[in-house]
Amino acid sequence: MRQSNLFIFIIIIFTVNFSFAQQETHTLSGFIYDGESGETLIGANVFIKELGIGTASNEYGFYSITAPSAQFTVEFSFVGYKKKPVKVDFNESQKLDVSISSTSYNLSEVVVLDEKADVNVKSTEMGTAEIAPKAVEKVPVIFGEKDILKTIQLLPGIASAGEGNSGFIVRGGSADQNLIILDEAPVYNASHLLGFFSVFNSDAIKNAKIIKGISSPEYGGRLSSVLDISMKDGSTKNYTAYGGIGLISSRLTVEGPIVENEGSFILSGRRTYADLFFPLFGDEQIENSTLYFYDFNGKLNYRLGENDRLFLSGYMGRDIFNFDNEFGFDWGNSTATLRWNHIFNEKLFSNTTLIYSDYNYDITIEDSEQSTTVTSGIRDINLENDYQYYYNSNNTFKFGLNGIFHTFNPGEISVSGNTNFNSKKIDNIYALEGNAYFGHELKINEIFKVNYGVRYSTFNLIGEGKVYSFDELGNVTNTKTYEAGEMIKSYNHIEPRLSLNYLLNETSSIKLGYARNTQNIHLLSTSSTTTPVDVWQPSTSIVKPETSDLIAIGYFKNLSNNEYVTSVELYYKDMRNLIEYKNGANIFLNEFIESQLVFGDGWSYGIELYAEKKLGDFTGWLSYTLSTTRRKFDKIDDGESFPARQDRTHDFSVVAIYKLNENWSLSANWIYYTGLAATYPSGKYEIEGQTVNLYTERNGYRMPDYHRLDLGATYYFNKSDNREMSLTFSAYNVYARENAYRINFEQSEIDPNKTQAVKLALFSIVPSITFNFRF
Amino acid sequence: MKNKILFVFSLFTLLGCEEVIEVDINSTDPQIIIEAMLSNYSNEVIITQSTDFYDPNEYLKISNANVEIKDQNGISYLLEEINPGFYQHPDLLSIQNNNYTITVEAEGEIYSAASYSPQLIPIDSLSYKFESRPFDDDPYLELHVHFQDPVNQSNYIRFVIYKNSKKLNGIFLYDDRLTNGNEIDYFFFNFEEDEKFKSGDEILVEMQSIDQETHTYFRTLRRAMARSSGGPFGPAAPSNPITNWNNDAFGYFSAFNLDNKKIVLED
Repeated sequence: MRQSNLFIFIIIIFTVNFSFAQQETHTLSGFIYDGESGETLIGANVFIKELGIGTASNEYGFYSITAPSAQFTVEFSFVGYKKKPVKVDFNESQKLDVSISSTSYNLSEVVVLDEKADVNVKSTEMGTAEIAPKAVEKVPVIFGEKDILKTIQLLPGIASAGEGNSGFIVRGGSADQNLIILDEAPVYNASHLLGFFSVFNSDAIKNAKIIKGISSPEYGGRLSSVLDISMKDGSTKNYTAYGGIGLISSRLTVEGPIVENEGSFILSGRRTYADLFFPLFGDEQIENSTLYFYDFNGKLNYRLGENDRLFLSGYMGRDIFNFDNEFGFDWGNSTATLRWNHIFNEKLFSNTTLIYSDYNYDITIEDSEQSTTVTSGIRDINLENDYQYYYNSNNTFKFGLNGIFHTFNPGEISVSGNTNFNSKKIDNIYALEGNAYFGHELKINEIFKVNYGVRYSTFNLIGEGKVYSFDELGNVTNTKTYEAGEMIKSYNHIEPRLSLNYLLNETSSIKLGYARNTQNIHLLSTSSTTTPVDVWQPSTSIVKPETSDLIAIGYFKNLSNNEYVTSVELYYKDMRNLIEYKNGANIFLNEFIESQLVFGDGWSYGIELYAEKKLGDFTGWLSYTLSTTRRKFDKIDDGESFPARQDRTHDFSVVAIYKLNENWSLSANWIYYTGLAATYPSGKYEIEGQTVNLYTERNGYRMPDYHRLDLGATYYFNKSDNREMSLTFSAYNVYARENAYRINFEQSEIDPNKTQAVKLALFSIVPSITFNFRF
Repeated sequence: MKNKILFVFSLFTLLGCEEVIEVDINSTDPQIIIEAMLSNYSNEVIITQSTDFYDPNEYLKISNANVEIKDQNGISYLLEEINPGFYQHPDLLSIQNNNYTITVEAEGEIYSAASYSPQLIPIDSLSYKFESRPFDDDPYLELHVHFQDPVNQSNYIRFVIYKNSKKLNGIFLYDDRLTNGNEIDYFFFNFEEDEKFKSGDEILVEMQSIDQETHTYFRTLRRAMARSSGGPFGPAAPSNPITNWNNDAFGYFSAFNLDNKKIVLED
């Protein structure tokens, strides 16, 4: 019923739109480049002033704009770049590649106001933010490690998963409900060192875009958000090297042309070196230990003539920990993306991508007598084919297909020598996922825009494999074995997406959005933060796909000629088939893991306020979220709803960056949020003479409120033509607020006849210094 | 080896700082706690009541309860209250591969539970070594228990360790899910921090062959114990242990068979 309504709606839109009489038009298309590096620009603006129509370059820098046969001035612009007007005769369709130059490497000396600045008012996008690493490099961060995942936590509706943690929570969703893609490849574990750092080396990143749930239909597979990260392509004009030396890690990036203006490469690496200081401890066991992580990003691209471009990009990163040659633990992601952009004609752009992604961990315990290794992981191979059709200045279509083959290795243990353990392997699980989507962005008139679409997803669990049935107590009642390639279970979903923009006047608009999302792979996590050993679980007969409906309405207003950007958004999100481990779940190498889970629902609603000052010496933003997030599980608290771990009533951030003079730039941020919902004991009793806490309700208490202030200062050495150096000083948690990371309830050391609450605070003030260079 | 992992996690704790804080905690209705065990050596049932978190660690004993254990042949044994809240039968002992049920009638409510007394697994031998760890001048004790895991069944074991006749804190458990049928060299190192061992100490290891429910109880009890939980990477939401009692009683009923061995530490 619902689906047929949608179908009728699409038909109506088409008929209305195409029945307009068409006058003769021609199309201008091409790529938009950064004038210095030759790097393509994502989301650069193309505007025909005389007609008041415009478009933006896509994620590969391609644009296409159609106008009636006449001469017009087309302006190409991008935030922080000089506007470039070009006179174009639209008497015939033509190609035009445009290079525009940035105003300055430092903050904008020339104030540029361009149409792009009010994109937040005029586009149909909601709950979306784009972050260029350059724009946020001055925001102070812990250990001085620039981190996109930590910067997005300062935006409304996005909360940190924990102190100093790169995990994030969007509109009350779990951390695994964020689709994190790097050059289209999913990154299954985006954190290093137990979550304190993300795997994204800012030096290798061109752009990051976060969409808080209402995404266009080419995205799917997770309930709460999409974080789409694009790696830099590398300069096609000259060779550059840049990097930084910090307390925790060092970075080095090299980029340059393969053939000038035809192709380029970028290589970027980062490694931490805390373990280089281990010998200083003067302890032999520690001296024989290692603890570090590294990231390696590489990308090549080459233009094969005017209409084709090839990209090959890859990421590899790993955390490595060894203790005294007895215990080893390492984990990491590798991804590879092979992309082919093809321009069929001035209106039809296509992208074909082959993607590989792998996450795994390894634990090894060995001594002279034995060796035991535990491994687990997930691997994807994905083929995508996407099209963008720029029909005219009022109609843009997107459509595409993709197929993903997932291989899950739930866990295996292999042993040699004299050990307690038996070798064991839980059978791999295979799944084939297929998606097809269609989206249409339609400008109905000057004030009303619609972006609607639909995504069809099919998720198929296939053999070979075993399927278990369980009784109430979790005992296996039946085992069914499937042959290789045999269909075990199939789920099909239709996900409608819609957003509307109603322009109130030149500087303000009202937007409305709706999206349904489905998630078929789920991260099972035991602790309050994600850990490297958490397991990805596909949907099965027992584990149903998670689904959500999100509706949002927003008011967007820009002030003072786009110097200030503000927005208010209200949202309601309903989530179904959420998954948690049951109390006392047996999770380690358990082939019957499905019997250890409980399922329930959740919902979240709230209001998000945002105000940003984009221009001038003083920039920054304020962000405030007032929200409620709850969960309801039949088997938790007798089916009563309870506040979710993701529930933050108030969440406030302010970020301020001030350019003092040519050499100094200062920054500060202050963060406040309501303490996390936590389970405290409401009583106690005794077992075998030892005190045991008595719990009555899930998340019935609140931790103390969280707040902290961070400060940063960057000194730029006088720069010469090609050389640039700077020193960044930062201090995390300046007033040393002892924020509760965890509260333990334990026997008093002073009076063993009493029990007490003990707060653990993780970080006091953390100063750091980083040296950055470029030549 | 696990201690090496703990060491790394404790590095993070070192960065942090601990502080006793005052937390506003609700009062709760007293709950009944029944600890009931039946072994091849003895039996006992202790009935107490819970109290509020900030009250002293003193727990009301429940007297005048009717406590009855029944074996699988339907023979009932009535336990007598020897001391307040402490109930015992003079000669009831657990027999291997037998089912037992218990019924407790206290303060107008009836509670019951069942337990299976499994096959006894004997200890082959004990051994130990002193090991060192970073930042600690004192060596710590690594105590090994050697035994043969029977191949044809699931086995669950709880160890209780005594030093010079004093029972040590800590819950030590074994199950054979990943080790079935092997000759097991099981070792302990995670005694409480201030528990020091020296030459001349007499160590007694009591190895209890328990059923799966008792194992689950103690495994989940560990997370609810009011002791320092060792760092920030705890469970998302702590909860009460999974008991085999019905009618919302806390505690457990375990029928088990134990074997024990002694060893005297030498340098």
